[in-house]
Amino acid sequence: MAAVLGILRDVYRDGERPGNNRPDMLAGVFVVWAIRTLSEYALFSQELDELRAVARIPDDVQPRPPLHLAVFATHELASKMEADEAAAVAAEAGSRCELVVAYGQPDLHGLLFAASRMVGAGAPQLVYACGPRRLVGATWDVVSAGRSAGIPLDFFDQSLAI
Amino acid sequence: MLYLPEVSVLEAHPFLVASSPLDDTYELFISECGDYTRRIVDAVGASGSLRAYVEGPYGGVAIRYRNYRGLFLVAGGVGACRVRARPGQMDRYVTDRTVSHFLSAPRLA
Repeated sequence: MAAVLGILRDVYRDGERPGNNRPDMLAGVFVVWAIRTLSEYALFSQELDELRAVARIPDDVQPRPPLHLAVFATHELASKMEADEAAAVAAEAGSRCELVVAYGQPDLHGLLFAASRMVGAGAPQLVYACGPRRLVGATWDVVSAGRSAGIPLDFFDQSLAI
Repeated sequence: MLYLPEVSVLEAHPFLVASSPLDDTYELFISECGDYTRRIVDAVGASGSLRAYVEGPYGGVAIRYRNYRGLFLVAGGVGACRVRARPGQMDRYVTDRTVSHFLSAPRLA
């Protein structure tokens, strides 16, 4: 998450310093963060809150891109009731939510295609994956599927051997 | 690559950079999860500060994301180390802050 945090800081904070240009092409930033347990979220929750607050600041001259954050606790079990409720809201929630906290593995395919719909059909997207090899590999598979579907995607990755 | 002579004369280890290129400071997140990182925490606790030598950066960090309409970032874990779970911390977070939805996701195929 550290590398992704660096990119987010660059996107949302560079306008605070004189002489720097804010991103002018970006129409949306989507972050998928897979952690083992929700308690790990607390490590960066304050900074992520601040970044989301910056993203919400209205700027008539050059609006900041909306920031969507989806956090997945992969090793935390949801109760049956939570899972049932989640199934009901999942379809409705989609990527319209600014913050989604979920149990289980991320549906990268669904999230990437939803993000693509939000920024516009045919709009170029950059996908960056940083984490364990399995997650990076899964992201690469999704990017391949997106390219096959005609979405212009560029992929960068940084694998961690842990 | 981070070299901390007060922690180990022979070892240098890679860590992910969390700071933006425009930041004045150079920020790393290091959690105590192994022998080397434990020694870092002990050394910082003892002296309050450490002399550090940095080499790099390495890897594909020069991403021109400004040329794209969408930026899709996928992150796994909190960094190079897994942290110890702190039970109850997320409960406080959930009650104190606004969380849009809790939902389940399918497993990766």
